[in-house]
Amino acid sequence: MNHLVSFAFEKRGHKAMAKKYGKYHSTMSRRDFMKALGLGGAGLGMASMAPVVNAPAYKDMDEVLSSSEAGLKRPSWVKEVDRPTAEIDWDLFERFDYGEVMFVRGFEKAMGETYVRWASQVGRENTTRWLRQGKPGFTLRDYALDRGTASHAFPAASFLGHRRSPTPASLGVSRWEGTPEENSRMVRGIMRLLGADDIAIVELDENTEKLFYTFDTDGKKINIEHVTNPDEGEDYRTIPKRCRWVIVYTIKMSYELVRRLPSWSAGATTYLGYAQGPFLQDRFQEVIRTLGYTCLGESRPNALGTSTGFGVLGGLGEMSRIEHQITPKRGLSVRVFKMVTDLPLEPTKPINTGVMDFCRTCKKCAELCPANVISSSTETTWEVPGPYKRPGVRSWFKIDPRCISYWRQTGTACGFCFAVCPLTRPQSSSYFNAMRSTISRTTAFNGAFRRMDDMLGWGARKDYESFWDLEFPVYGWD
Amino acid sequence: MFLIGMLVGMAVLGLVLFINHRNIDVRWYEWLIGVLGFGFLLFTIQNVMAAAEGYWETAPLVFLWLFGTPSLVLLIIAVLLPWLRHRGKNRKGTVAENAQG
Ligand code: SF4
Ligand code: SF4
Repeated sequence: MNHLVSFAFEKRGHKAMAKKYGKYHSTMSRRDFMKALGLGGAGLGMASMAPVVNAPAYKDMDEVLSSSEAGLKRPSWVKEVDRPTAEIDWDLFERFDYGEVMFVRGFEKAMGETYVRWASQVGRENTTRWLRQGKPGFTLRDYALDRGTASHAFPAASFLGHRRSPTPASLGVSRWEGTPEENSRMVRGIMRLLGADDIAIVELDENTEKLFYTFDTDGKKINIEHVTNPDEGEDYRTIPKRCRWVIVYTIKMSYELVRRLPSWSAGATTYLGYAQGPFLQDRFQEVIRTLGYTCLGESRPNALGTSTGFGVLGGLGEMSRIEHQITPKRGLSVRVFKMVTDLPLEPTKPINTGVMDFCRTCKKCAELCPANVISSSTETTWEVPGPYKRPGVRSWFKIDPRCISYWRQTGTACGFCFAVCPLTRPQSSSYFNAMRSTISRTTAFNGAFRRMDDMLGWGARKDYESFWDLEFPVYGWD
Repeated sequence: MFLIGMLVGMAVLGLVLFINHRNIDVRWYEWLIGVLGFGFLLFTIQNVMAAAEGYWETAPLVFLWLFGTPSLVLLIIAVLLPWLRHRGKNRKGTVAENAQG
């Protein structure tokens, strides 16, 4: 059996481990074998194997429409529900000023100017010390990768779109007409082609409109009004009421890098994820323009409205203890983006995969968070810990200022909670799929699954230096 | 998928032919134990491979121990029970032949 282990290590270039487990040669590719076993095992109760995602190739729009990539593909254990598992009180829930969050004024407001300066100073000193020491995961080459990817993590994107492609009017044709179902399939097909992993759709109404910020990430006021055209000025953005559909989508992160967070080298997966959203958005806005519709985007990642809120309402994932959505396919290992359009689309429903119930028992992130900021209470609450959170959602809440203080002091974006989460594990394991399938149906084994995760030694790994022995798939998307 | 199906199919066919050829009597519950053991074996191999692919050092060994052991035990039982019975039957036959002779 050691040979099998060795084979997998060797194929991925992990020579030290391959050596440890001996040598093995095979004419059949590992992926074929894994796929075969997964599918072959379907009749044996291992049906929910991971789909291996490859870039789709289409010849024409009909192919896009009829492609299986275009449909909403979810594991069979994902249940659609009418309301999200995290309760929302729409009377309490109001639009929120993004300026209140940690990345704008929130941190200084909560901790004071002197503390913020001190935390940054500690961060700078730590950076210099670790660089000089060559601390594993924090060496110059780790830092170079971190800074290289961070410096382009938030490329300028456009709310209105760059408007370079022709419109139906300029072509002398009428605009594209399709049913919401057809349009949704088309949108999914195109977005998958452009790099999106999962795509959900939320229809706007007087409640869901509240998920948009009052003031955007750059301080511009966001208006939602009965106007003909969208608009953007020095200090405002206007979304016409006719743009009723929010497309919320995920970009994959690398599992192998996520579990190496919070080292500097692993931070690259976060920054790469952020950079790929605008790449997709720029192109998608042009596609929608040529179809004859409006598509409004984020001026930078996380802009316009709450990604978790839209994602949870559209069923991309479920709310978790760390206030991020846990997706069925990739757990926490995704970045989430959104766009707004007037192209009629078919809304998707929220989902229940047992995540919140699992979080109630698990608490692994709360136990292991280095800054001790994640709630460890079993029950969720309506009480928010500070003005940096808005009331109206019954959830668990992190103490954000202490989390960000840890980020500043370590010069990282941490993410250790992503690394340790038992629901963020590669789907190639049929055990993991059986586990997700079981927790979506019953809470009876949640404690056992949490203990099993500890036993398996899955999750965060601290041998950061082994990063440089790895051979990654493109973008680290494993 | 196709290849694994072929291999499993060939193995099962070979086993059935062998059992028929040797005239071995296998009870239904022994088949069941065998199928369970084989299921566990596939599950173990798949998970060991998946865990090793993700550079986990502990997980492959835990999977081996946790699912591989019951798989082995079940497969041994599934083989041992009919084999012991078959041997017993053969021995009885030989004793009877000797007595007659
Ligand atoms: S990012 Fe780090 S400090 Fe913040 S909650 Fe997660 S584990 Fe804790
Ligand atoms: S580590 Fe456990 S409690 Fe924390 S988010 Fe993941 S499943 Fe929930």
